[in-house]
Order: sequence, then C-alpha cells, then structure tokens
Amino acid sequence: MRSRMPPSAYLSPEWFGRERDLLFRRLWLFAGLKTMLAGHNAFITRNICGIPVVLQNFNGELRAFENICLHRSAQLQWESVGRRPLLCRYHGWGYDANGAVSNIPLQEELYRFPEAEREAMRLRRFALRSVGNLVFINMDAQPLPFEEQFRAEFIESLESSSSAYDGEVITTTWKGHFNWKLAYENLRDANHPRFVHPQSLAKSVNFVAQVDDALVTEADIDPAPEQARAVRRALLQRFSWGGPDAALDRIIPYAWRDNVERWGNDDSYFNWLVYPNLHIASSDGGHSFIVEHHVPVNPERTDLEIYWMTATKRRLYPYSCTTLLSLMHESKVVLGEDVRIMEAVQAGLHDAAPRAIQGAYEAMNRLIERWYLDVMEHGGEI
Amino acid sequence: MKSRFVIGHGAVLDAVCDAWTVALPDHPVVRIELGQGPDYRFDWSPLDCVARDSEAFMAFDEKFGNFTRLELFQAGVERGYRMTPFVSPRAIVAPGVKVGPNCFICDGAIVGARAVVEYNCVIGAGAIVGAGARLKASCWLAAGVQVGDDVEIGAHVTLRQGVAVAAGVRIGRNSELGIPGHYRENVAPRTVFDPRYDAPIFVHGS
Repeated sequence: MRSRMPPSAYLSPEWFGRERDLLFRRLWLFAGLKTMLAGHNAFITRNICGIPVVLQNFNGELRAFENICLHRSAQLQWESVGRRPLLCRYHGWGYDANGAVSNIPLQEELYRFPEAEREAMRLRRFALRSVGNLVFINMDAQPLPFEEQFRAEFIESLESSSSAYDGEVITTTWKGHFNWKLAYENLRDANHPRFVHPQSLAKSVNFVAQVDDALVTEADIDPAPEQARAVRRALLQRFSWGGPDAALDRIIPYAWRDNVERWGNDDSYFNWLVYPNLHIASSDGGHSFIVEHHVPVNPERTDLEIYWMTATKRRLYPYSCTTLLSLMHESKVVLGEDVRIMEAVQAGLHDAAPRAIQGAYEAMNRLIERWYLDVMEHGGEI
Repeated sequence: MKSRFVIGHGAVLDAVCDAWTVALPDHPVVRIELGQGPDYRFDWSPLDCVARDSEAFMAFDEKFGNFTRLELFQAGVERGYRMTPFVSPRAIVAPGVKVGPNCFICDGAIVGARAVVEYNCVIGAGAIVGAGARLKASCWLAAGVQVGDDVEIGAHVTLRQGVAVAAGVRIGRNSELGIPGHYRENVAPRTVFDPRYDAPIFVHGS
C-alpha cells in the first residue's frame, strides 16, 4: 500500500509553515521539565513553532509567556536555563505572574503612559499544563482540552513515571538533517532495530513488530472528506501511548543504580510516544529516563533536544553527573544510528520521489498519516 | 630496596610502570592489574598481597570523569599505601610547586611557580601549567595542553589534546574540554565540549 504522504510534506517550506499553523500551534506541546524550574524566578527559554517562549516560576506557579518585551521587543530572558526576575535588560521593564507590566523605570519622566494603557499591557500568555515533571504548553488562543489530546490512562502513566525523574538533568541538542515526521515514523516502526541497530540496541532488546488486522482495515479506509471534530480528536488520542515495550533479559547492577529509587520493578524497556513530537524511554526498567524532544526547525532540519536523568536519588553520590554523561554517550550510539538512517531517507527525497510502500505492520503510521492529511489538506480543526 | 606497586589497568598502567622503572631503575616495580566486571566493579583481591605502608601508585585513564581513578586512589588511602607523586626527571617544575599524592607529571611538562596540583592529577607530556594556576583533585591534562597563568581548574576536569585555557579563566568542576581550541571565558561546572556532539552538554540541578 502506498503512503498517503506526498514528498512535499517533507520538503516544502510552504507546507512546513502550514504545519506550524494548523498542527503545532493548536496542539499541546512539550516545553520543558518541571525539575529545571524549581524555585521562585527559575526560568527556561525555548523556541517553539518559531516563537520565543519563557517558562517562569512565580512563587511556585509556572507560567508561559512570549519571551519578548512589550517595549522594544528585546528578549526578556536570554539564557536557556536560569534564575532571575522577568525583567528586560534593555530599559528595565519588569513583569509579574500575569504578564502585566509591574515596573517601568522613569515612567512619569519619560514614558507618561496613561494608567489605563499601562494596565492593559500584557505579555502574550500561553496555556500551561504540568503532568508530573513534564510541562506542556499550548499556543492556541483557545486551546483544546488537554484531556482530549491525551487519554486519561496515558496521562496517568506519564504522571507516574515522570514524577520519578531526579532533579539532576543532563541536556544537549543534536542537529538532525531530516524532517521531524521521519523520527516518529521510525519510532513507530518496531521492525527497524534489528537492521539499524544490530550491534547496539538489538543486541540487548528484542522489539517485536506486530500486525493488528483491525487497525490495518481501519487505516486503509479512505477518510471522509470532512470528519467531525469529535472523530478527529478521538483519533488524536490514540496517537500517544506508552508503557513496557520489550522484556529485558538482564539489568546490569551498575553501582549508581544502588543510589536511585527505581520507578516500579518491571524489567522492561519502556517507551512513551507523545504526539506530535516527544519520545520518552526508560531502557533499564525505570532506573533512568531519556526525553527526546524533536523540534522542527525547517522542513529538512530537526533539533533533537535530549534530556537524561536517573530515577530520584536515594542519596547524593559524587559521580552522579558522570553517570548521566555515560548514559548520554550510550544513547548517542543508538540515536546516531537512527539519525543516519533518517538523514539518508531525507537525502533521497525530491518533489517527484515515489511514495513509500507500507506493510501491514505500519498501519498506525498509515492511520496517523490519514488524520494528519485531513488536518493539513482540508484545514480540519483539531 | 622495597618494591613499588603500580596498580591499575590498561595502557596507562603500562606507561606508569615504564615511567617509574626508567626514572628509578634501582627501585623494583611490581605491576598489579585489576580487573573489572561487566558492572565496572573492581576485583580487589590482587591487592591482598600489598601490605600497609607500601609504596604504591594507582594508574588508570580518565574514563568516567576520572572517578574510576579516584576510586583506585581512595582504595589506596583506605589500605594505608603511600602514594608518592611521580614527577618525570624530564619535566620542569618550578621550585615550591605543591604536587599532591598519586599525581603523574609526564616528560616535557612545565609547571610554573606558585602552581598547585592537588592529589591524583595527571599532567601529560609537554603540557604547560602557568604560574599560579591551581588544579584541583583528579584532573587530567592531555599531552600538550596549555593552561595559562592563574587559571583555576575544578576537580575531575578533563582537558583533551589541543586545548588551551587563557590566563585567569576558571573551568568548573566535572567539566570536559574535548574540542581543540582556545578557551577564553569561564566554563560552568559540569559542562562538556565533545566533538562528537553538535552542541555543548550541560548538567542542571542536583
């Protein structure tokens, strides 16, 4: 069966722009880790859908704003992670937890804003939702309910697992030369590890691709031209799932594992796929977690923002940061193999490239493509 | 003459054995190789034959942020070994420089006046440590690294080949400068510059 996706979905700047407007600016998106926002005035900055965003802690309340001063458009916070009041470095304008201007130095002498005008000044605020240690934002003025994007049991699983994240986090960004969608097609493809990772992941974990006949039938039905919003949302909920994905024969008892409170006691490789662009895994049965945020930069570039943490420490140990670096290096091997494959796919794409031929085990990818094109081509509301 | 036990693993163990043998030919060197299991825990049983107060040197590479070398050093301390630093006769170390136990200063290295080299550091061949510089414990400076005057290098820092640190700069603990170049600004603790990555690696929180 041919994929429904045209090559332009992976190549076209115009398509990429519509994708931002119709998909990313309407969905709940991962924005950061709560553990990196601990304490008053702690902040992180991100660029999400081309918009600079600051997440800031105001006395324990997390808020998300456009990270641009209302006066001269300077970015309010400059560092990616830090702790300082929401205060512009250019002319000293300060902002409160509601995004209102709390202070304008020399207001009476130089600016002379009428009180009503000043009180109406507000940073653009985005809806924010914390699930355990995961922070999501939605950039839509009227965001869809979080529970309509993700099923209750999935939210519960994310909340339970992410609450086990330790506060010490290692981060970096890898710059991938591929379209972000290839990453999720690859993550939903349990048949690739034996071919792409024969000397790494597939040596220790046996992922088994399966065929769901009902899903095959469902995915092959051509979509109705105009699906109802409720149908669209019900489908959307099915695109995010998580839990144990493969049994682990053995978990090596590295010394650091004695120092952390393992999440659960299931000797499994866990995966959580959070549509559209977040993947979380625990490759060692809940001793550590990797969060991979695939940030679309342009049609052919995706930043992989990586966060690694162990489960919560039982006690401080001096080599904890080195443990995290070792985890990062291990995952670099596996993810590097994925990146090479995705870059090879991207490099072969062109406007007249043949559409992919998909097998029965790829039915979920087909269903997502169907939904995605409904949103993209028919301007379908989510 | 009492033997010196050189204890550790891998190519560094061989290099340290050779260095002690060449520098002090009349002082017998006993090489003790320690094995690690798949969980990286050491089998300490080969040390059963090494008595307290023995002269010993713990030799391991910089892997795992120099913490494996530290683990060996701590094992030596707990067993009461005397871990004299090794300073190559072909290194130039200014008078009065403090060099801590189990440090290894290779051929051709230069260490300037008033510098402090805390315990368990390695200064590679031809590396230069400027006057007044301070290397905290368990650092690793690869061959040819240049550290300017009054630089402060935090504990467990690794500086790889081709790195030069400008005078007065502070490199935070547990950092790794692995991309060759001239580092002119302070580096926050737990920052890693690794040429295999597209961007620096940072550690946040605790």
